[in-house]
Amino acid sequence: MIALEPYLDLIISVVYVVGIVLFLSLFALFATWLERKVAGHIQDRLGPMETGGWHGWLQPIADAIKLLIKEDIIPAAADKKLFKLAPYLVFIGSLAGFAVLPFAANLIGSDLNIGVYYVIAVTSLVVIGILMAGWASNNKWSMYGAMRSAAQMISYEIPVALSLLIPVMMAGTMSMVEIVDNQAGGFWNWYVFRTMPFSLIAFVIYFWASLAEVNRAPFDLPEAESELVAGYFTEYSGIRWAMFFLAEYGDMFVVSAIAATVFLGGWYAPFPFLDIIPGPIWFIGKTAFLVFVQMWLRWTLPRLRVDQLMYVCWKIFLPFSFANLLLVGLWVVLKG
Amino acid sequence: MNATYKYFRDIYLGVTTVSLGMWITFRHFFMPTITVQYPREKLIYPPRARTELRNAIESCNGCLQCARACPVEIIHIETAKAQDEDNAGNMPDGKPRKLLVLTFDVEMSKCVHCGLCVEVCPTESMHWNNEHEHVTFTREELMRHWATYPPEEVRRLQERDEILKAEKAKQAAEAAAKKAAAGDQPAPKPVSKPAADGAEKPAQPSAAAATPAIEKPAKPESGDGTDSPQKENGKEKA
Amino acid sequence: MILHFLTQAVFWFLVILTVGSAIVVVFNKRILHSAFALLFTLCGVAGLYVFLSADFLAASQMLVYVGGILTLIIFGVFLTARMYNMSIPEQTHQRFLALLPVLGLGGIIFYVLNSAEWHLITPMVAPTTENLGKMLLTTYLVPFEVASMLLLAALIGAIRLARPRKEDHDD
Repeated sequence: MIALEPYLDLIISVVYVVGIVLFLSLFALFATWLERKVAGHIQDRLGPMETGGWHGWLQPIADAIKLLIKEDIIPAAADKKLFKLAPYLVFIGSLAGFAVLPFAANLIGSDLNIGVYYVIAVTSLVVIGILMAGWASNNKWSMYGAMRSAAQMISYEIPVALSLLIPVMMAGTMSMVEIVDNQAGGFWNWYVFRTMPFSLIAFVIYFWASLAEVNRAPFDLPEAESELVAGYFTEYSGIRWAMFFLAEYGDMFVVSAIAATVFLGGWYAPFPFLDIIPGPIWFIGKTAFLVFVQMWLRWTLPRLRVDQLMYVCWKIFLPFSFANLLLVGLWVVLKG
Repeated sequence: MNATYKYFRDIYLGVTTVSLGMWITFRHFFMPTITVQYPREKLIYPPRARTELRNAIESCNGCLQCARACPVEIIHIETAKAQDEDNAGNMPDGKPRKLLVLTFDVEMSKCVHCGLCVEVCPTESMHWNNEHEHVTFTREELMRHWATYPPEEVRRLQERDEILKAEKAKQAAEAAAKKAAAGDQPAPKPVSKPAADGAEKPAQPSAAAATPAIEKPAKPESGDGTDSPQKENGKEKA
Repeated sequence: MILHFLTQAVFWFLVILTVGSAIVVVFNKRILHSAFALLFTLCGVAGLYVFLSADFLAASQMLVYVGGILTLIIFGVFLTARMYNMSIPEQTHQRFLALLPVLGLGGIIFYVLNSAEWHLITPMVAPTTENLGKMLLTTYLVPFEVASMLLLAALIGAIRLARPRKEDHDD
């Protein structure tokens, strides 16, 4: 029997990574079901009802099995190496974000002291992966989708970063755990409600810009079905397509989880007496609520045009973010 | 100034209209759904909905109007004259049944649901049955057979009809010969009479053609004169 | 023991990733493959920064080089005409002339490597961000601002160049 103590960290890391991948898959399954249910009920329909009995709860499992046993088609004219590589790159970019999500005070992959910055940095991998997928497919729709996606992700990274800077300034740290710790004790301490209305505006800007970051409606131009079939993953099928799908839902979770962390008090309950409910439940609950809002928006709003997309980013979000940043900076300085 | 005003107004409108839209979809989220869980629940269709054809064979008098009205010619009917031995019974309106409907077949797979057969049916035996689930594994199953006579019975009745017709034709010929012998009374006038009594007018010339000898004695049953052309017509279609 | 071995393995993996994909960048004939191979070089370098406890620098490397510069390069290639069958000329002309700068550059690099004072750092656990921020706003404020001014000028210049002229608009 070898002594395990020196390797405890290693073992915990491996277990955590496996757990996160499992969690991501389960969340994606749940989210696909939720998405169809939300879509259905908003349109006065029911959504899937048959598979599994109760409200079609087995539908995502059935879909997953179908995807796994589907033929993996690679177009003859595709750039085979890049075509195979791209889904993994996108998936890694999405999965890497999970490393710094604080599910609870001590349930976090790695409490980096550059936590927020790290998340912004690794999302750039997704951009490259999408560009790679779009180019390797050798298809004009994929190409257009990839270009649009890259353009909007790069543009919207700026308002996202600027509005994330506001809670960072208020907390004086970029570490996720410390940011959450600064919001302990009731919802009035959450950053979204402090320095009203600046942080609320920052929260709204972050949330909207993050929709563009993850290519969700109303900013879903990269995968606009009516124009581009499916955008950059038009040519993908089976398991590779599932990787893109998983990455997309993973991204949805990551951006919502960051919003929950830096604006909505992370794992803390809205009222101190509710803290008996474990932190991860609060954290996942807040995140799931934001994911629900994303879906709600998707089934409410039509898709923007490219020029409107850029207008919203550069002429509305950006000036407001800068003004916000200055004012909150002043607030922080005056408060000492 | 104007541009600035427009800029802020756009932002204001963006925020308010998005909130309004979200409020509307939020309300719809909790509204009762309109989905009908089809195999388990079924909608009740309005009584005149064009669903699937059904012929209430007991009230069908075999008049062939539906077969003629059908634009895609999918209704196939064969009839035989009812005799006393058949105990044909009465029609729903109380009058005695004059024609036995031997076959009444509809190729439902070809039906265009125009409803003309239902419109023309004098006894309202042809109707929509308010069911639409005519799903089958083979096309043959979509052939609807409503007549209840077994095939050998159909053959027997048809043969009996043929024999009766031949007898009648012979009788008529004899009668005509007798008449001709008795004295030449031209008889173009009475021709129209039995035909007019019959069910359909367009068959009139053929009725005249089918009965070479013309006379009036065959008058006791009013459908008499039209019987043979009707029969031919039905066979042709089948 | 195993931990040490794993650390070494990750280090060597990063080194091979960096150098190997750099070689692909140089020798690949398809320009887009080169551009995408650059991704792995940059990621490898970011990984090496992490080994040096320079986490902020590693994240910046990812953000600026992968998210910004590499995307720009790829966009540039995308927007070039005939990108699908573009190939880089294989043959080297004027080998002897090329040898001169190569030798010169190699000599300089070798000299720097040789003359530099290398010392092993003990891995720092303390965050680097605080010190970095302070130094950027005190000691290195002027270079920082000059760099910002340069970038701002480049931005405005790019917008000026990209903007359609008035007479174009009139049509």
